[in-house]
Amino acid sequence: MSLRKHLNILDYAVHFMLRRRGKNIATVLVFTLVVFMLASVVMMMGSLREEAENTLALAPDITVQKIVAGRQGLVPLSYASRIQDIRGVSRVEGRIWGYYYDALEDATYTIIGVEHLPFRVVEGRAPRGQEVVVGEAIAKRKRIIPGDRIILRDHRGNYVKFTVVGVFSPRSSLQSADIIAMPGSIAREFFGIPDDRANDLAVYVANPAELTNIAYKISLALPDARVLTRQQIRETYDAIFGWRSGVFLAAIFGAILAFAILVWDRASGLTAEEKKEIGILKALGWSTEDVLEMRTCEGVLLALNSYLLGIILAYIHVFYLNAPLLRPVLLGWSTLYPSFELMPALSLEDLLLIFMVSVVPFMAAVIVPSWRASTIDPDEAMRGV
Amino acid sequence: MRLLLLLVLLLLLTAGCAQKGERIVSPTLEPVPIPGKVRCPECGMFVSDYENWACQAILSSREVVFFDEPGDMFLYRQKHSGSILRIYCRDYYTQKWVSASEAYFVVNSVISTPMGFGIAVFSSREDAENFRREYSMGPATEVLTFEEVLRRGVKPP
Repeated sequence: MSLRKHLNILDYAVHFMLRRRGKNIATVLVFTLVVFMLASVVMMMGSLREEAENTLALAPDITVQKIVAGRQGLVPLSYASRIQDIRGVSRVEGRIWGYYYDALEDATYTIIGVEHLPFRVVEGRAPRGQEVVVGEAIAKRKRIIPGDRIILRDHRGNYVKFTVVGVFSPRSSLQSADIIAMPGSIAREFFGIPDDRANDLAVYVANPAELTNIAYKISLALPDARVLTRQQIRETYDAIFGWRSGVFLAAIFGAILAFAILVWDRASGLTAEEKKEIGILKALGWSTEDVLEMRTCEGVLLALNSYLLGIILAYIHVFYLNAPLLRPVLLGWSTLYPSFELMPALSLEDLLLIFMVSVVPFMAAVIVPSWRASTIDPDEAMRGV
Repeated sequence: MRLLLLLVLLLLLTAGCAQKGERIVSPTLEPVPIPGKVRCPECGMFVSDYENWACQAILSSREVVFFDEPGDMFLYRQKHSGSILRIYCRDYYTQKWVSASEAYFVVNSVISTPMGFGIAVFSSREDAENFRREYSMGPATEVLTFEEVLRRGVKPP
């Protein structure tokens, strides 16, 4: 019997809303838009943060660059043996890598010299001799599969033929999308880097507690070196992401304000008509709880639908369409990448955060004035005092 | 609401069981890798959060006890000296396991260890001397052997 009563109240609430179709559709639209924008930013930042975290996981503990006249130069490998002598350093590697401009595709790739693969390979194996493993974006763009040949122009202007023996997994898209990996000695020859030099040094430290001390010792021993710890790189990433998402949140501040005004409008009181209706209901024998239940049903229906709609739209926008609306603002640095896909990364916390800033205040704004209206005398309400 | 409470209770219960459950043994008396969910018997912190300071003691029952830093290992050793067969600590520089009886300990250094004892472990006296110079806080910072540390006694900081 009681379930039937609740169903009746729900039914009444739906009709109550349908009678004010215009107003409610406007509310849903604004609500959905706000949730959509907030969720888009949160999802995109989450995805980018995860990518950055993946990149950092691959970065060495300390990166040492040589600075010549304020610009980055090639590091002599003699530096490596000096760093190796510092207590607590477990391994030093000279890295060979560089950018390669592909005029045909009008895209820039990153060529890295590797002895073992830093990323997971979908198919294929590590390169040996005149062989390469390419990023997924390059493979897609140039329509190559393992077994094909690609031709690259080396530093002397000669065209060098390479056999593609593998494609990197799209799971690590941001780091590996634009990469061509070849053996270190081949990359050295390709770029014309002298045998006793490298682009930078990757230093690995066994004990993280000793990391700062070692970085300090390196910068003392090699005054012309720039020493970057992984922690510093992480802070830079955080600063960039924090700044960019801050800019965007400022930009959509207007929308949030509009939402706040809408909520305030609903909170500031019911229309005379709505008040009258509540008065009639009370005169007909509805209790305060019944009226509140009806209004809660209405609020829940509106808020939940808008919330779900907003989240779904944002998910499609960010992870299927790759955030066309946010890209220009948030992805300034990715112009290098031939293609860039955001990997779905959605945490329950993010969803809860959006829920707390949108649905909860809205529910409060719906219920409080109804409670006030439902406690007044029906006679007064009907007369419209 | 009641269901939620029940779920939380169940979660706590299973979590409590999980950490009591497995016993780690080392039949060969060799050091074993640190498991994910094991707590230090002295301070109750998760040992895996402080891998780089960890120590382990192998008891006469072949059971392995893990500590999140050398200081806690000494506290435990002072209480249960009879039942311990071997003790291993991580070398500060190389992070390899080193037998405590062959190790050198730098005590009263300025390095901040998980519980603040300031004790670091080294496999060579040379490394220990180097560390003592870099992280010294005066004459109290010394290089000692395992027996020497025990003779002086370790107190919680």
